[in-house]
Amino acid sequence: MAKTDIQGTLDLLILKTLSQTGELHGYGIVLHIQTASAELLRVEEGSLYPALHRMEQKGWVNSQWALTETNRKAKYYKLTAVGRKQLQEAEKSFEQLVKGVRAMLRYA
Amino acid sequence: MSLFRRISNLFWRSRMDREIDAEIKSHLQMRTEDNIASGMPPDQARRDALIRFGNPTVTKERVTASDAALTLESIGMDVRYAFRRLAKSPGFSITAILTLALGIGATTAIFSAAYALLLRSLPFQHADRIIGIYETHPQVVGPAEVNFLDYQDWRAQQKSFEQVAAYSGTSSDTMSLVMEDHGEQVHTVLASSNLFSLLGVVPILGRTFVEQDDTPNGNHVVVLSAEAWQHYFSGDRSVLGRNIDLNGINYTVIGVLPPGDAYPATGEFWMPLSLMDKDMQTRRVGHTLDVLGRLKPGVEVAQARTDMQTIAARLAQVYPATNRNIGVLLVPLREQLVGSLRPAVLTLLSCVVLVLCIACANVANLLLVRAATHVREVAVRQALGASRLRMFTLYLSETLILCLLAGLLGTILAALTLPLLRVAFTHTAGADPSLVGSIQLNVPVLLVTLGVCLFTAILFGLLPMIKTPSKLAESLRPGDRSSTGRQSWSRSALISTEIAIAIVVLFLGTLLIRSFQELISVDPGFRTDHLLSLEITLPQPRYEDSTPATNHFYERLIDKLQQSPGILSAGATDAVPLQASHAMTRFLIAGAAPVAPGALPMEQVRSVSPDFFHTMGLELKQGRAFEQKDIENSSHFIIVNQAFAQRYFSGKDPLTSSVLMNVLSPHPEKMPVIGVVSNAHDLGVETEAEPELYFPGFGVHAVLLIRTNTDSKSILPEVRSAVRDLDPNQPIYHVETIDEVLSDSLARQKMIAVLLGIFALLALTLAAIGIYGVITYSVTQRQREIGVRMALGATRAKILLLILRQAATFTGIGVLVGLVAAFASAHLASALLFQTSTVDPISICVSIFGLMVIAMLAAVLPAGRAATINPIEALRSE
Repeated sequence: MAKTDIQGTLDLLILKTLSQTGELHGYGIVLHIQTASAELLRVEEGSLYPALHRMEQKGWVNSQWALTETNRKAKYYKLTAVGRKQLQEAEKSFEQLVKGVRAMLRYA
Repeated sequence: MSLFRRISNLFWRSRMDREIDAEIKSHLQMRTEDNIASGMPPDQARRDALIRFGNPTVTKERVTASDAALTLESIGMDVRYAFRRLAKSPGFSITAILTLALGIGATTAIFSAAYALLLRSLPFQHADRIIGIYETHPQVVGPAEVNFLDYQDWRAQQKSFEQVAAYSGTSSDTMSLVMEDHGEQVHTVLASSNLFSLLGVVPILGRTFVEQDDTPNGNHVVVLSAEAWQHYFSGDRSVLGRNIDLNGINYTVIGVLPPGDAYPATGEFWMPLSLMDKDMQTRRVGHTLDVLGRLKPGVEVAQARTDMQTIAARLAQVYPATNRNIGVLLVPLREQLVGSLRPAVLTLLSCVVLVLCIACANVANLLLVRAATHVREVAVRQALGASRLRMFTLYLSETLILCLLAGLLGTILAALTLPLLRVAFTHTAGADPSLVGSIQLNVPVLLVTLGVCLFTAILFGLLPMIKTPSKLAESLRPGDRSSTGRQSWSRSALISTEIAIAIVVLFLGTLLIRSFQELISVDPGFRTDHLLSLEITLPQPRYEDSTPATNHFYERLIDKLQQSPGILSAGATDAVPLQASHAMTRFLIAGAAPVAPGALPMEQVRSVSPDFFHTMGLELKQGRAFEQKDIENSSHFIIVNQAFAQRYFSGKDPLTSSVLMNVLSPHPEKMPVIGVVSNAHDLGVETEAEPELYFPGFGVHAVLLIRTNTDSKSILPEVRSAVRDLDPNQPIYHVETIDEVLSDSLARQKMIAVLLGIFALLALTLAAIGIYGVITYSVTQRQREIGVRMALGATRAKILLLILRQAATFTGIGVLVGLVAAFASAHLASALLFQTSTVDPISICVSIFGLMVIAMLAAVLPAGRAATINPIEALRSE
């Protein structure tokens, strides 16, 4: 299981999660990343919230309080148009990173 | 939108805090529920959720930290909290602020002097390329003025300077300015036409000299200093082109110089150099010129020196009689203006920085003690999730507040002491007045002060961080002592360092005070009290040197004065006693083996009136004093002092000897010695009593010396009326008592001794405060140990000794280290010492005992408290 805390990567994971699920609270995002990555990635749960807050400040996501299926109050996050564009860019730059790293590994 | 949210966040911080709390809470609850659903017992489920999440407080901090505005606000909160913490322990805060303020204030004051004198660029164009050029002679101490013909040759032959200029101005060069209703004695300086363009001085009115002004036909022109323009002509702009009467001759005013920085600042009336005495312009004897050169760009001082030395060697070959022993000395302008003050200022600066170091060590100690008492609080804060960065911000804001308040207070202290410092430096021979005036709190000085504040603050802010324990559990354990051992060691090291530095300052201070004592205990050879000196210059051409008119004037004046009831006797000479004068003459002892012209001996010479020796209180050892008839007959007799007799008449009876004068002229004069008088330190008490020759006679310029039996300045009205009776237009000037002259001549040494004495006391006081603090803290820390010792039978005396021994250990180490450092640094001050060794045993003893006594006094109080501890109470507490 790879633990990831690289800031850009975390942002990408959150943005992707929100684009796939539409609207989700923090705990849900953690669970989604875990299942969608087939248990390969585990987000440090505490570090999720500073990232979410920062993304909200930048206007990538917006939030509102709502009830969960179990009737619990939770803050739901949703991707904005800006966030969608940001996601595209982040995906592109991540592809580049992966390509680059892979090239390095092959070279060695 | 986002901006609006940020601003609203600021207002609704508490609401936001609640929102984050709620979000985290819901997260934890969802995880717990999932855990329970997957079969965990509730306790474990909650624990697992918390571990997965990490520290909620930290998360909350990080969420708010992601907002810049909120970060600012948290810093603001830290600052407010720091203020509250400081206000809660006023004893600590006030001690720390006062200690630092003393250190910073003293440093700021001395640095502003050092900046003005040594660092600030001089107010002249290309000031770094302006060099003073002097002649040297083996028998003249230090740089000597330059002969006119030598100056002309230098100017023609040199290759290193763009320009070479000269001026002639000793403080006694004056002329009588005849105004409509009264006369004034004004200070005149002769200058070559290019002096002002060399210095880049632009007149505020009219023009300065051009080459045509410096020719024998057109040289009756005057440039006024701004001060003279204000003083004598009330700043009247119509003064340009006006004819003024100086010594009975008409001169035209052509310009006014800018105020203050005109150099040399003491000149009032500037006139062309070609007005110089014709005799001086045609002979290679007589050295009266100050010469300045501006180096060509790219030429080094060393290069110019070689160039000038080549010329001097050439002149020595061509004119061996006069120039054989004459060398050249190049002194950059800054050195010339600051003179001998550089080592003094550097010593003061070093000492004041050392005092600042002691102050810092004290505050560091206080902070360490504070950090140690707060170990548990800090641990609790960390356990609750405070990040190291956040702790650092808190410490830093605390020390920043301390240091900035101290800096503010220190700057106020410095501003209050600067006027005193300026006065001290003004009375100090060596510094140019225009430089002394620029000693002030200006931007660069304040920037340095701010820099010092910030540096100490950051240093101190880091200090408790180092002390923050990394193992939380340990510092939280009750009654824990694990960290005190190492901390008390570092505190002892700090206090030892402090004592070592204090020893250095104390030693230097004592050395300088001892040196000053030596200086004032020198017997100048005559009584300096009840002796008044004033100067008169009779207007030429009505009076000339040694003419009957001149003699008659002074004889009648002295007669009149001596009839006055308050005056015991009066005499005249040509230079103020105790002030360096460069009146020297070449001579030969009659009958001695002839020497090459360049190797002729040269000594101090003075012309004196018959009553001079009696008035001064110089004792006649052999023969007789001058009489009135010696002056009237212009008889060729001389009197010498004992130093002269010893050096030149060894063994022979001086009264049977003669001295050949005017030896370089075709007709030397043989002058019999008629008397020998006791030695006087005529050049100042710092220099040995030099051999001297005395002639009978009066010049147009005379220094009147008046011995009184009352307060010497109180007889001034009688002196004025006596002069007025003889000539109502005749001014007198430079009125001062010889005691004042003496104290002025010692002003520099006095200033350094007083300032260093103050710094030494400051160092001692700060060290005492430091020792007191450390011992007090150590006693509170060792309370239980002391209780145990007492319970096991230790007497109160033993406890007292135990604590005193601790103090003695670190004081002893500090003193030893300090002495080594003190000896090493004493050579720094050796240039300032007068007949005092750099390993002066009395200074060593005073420093050691002074510090030991202070250390023991500072330790006795807390040690006494330790000895009176009630063992039962001590053991029960904890």
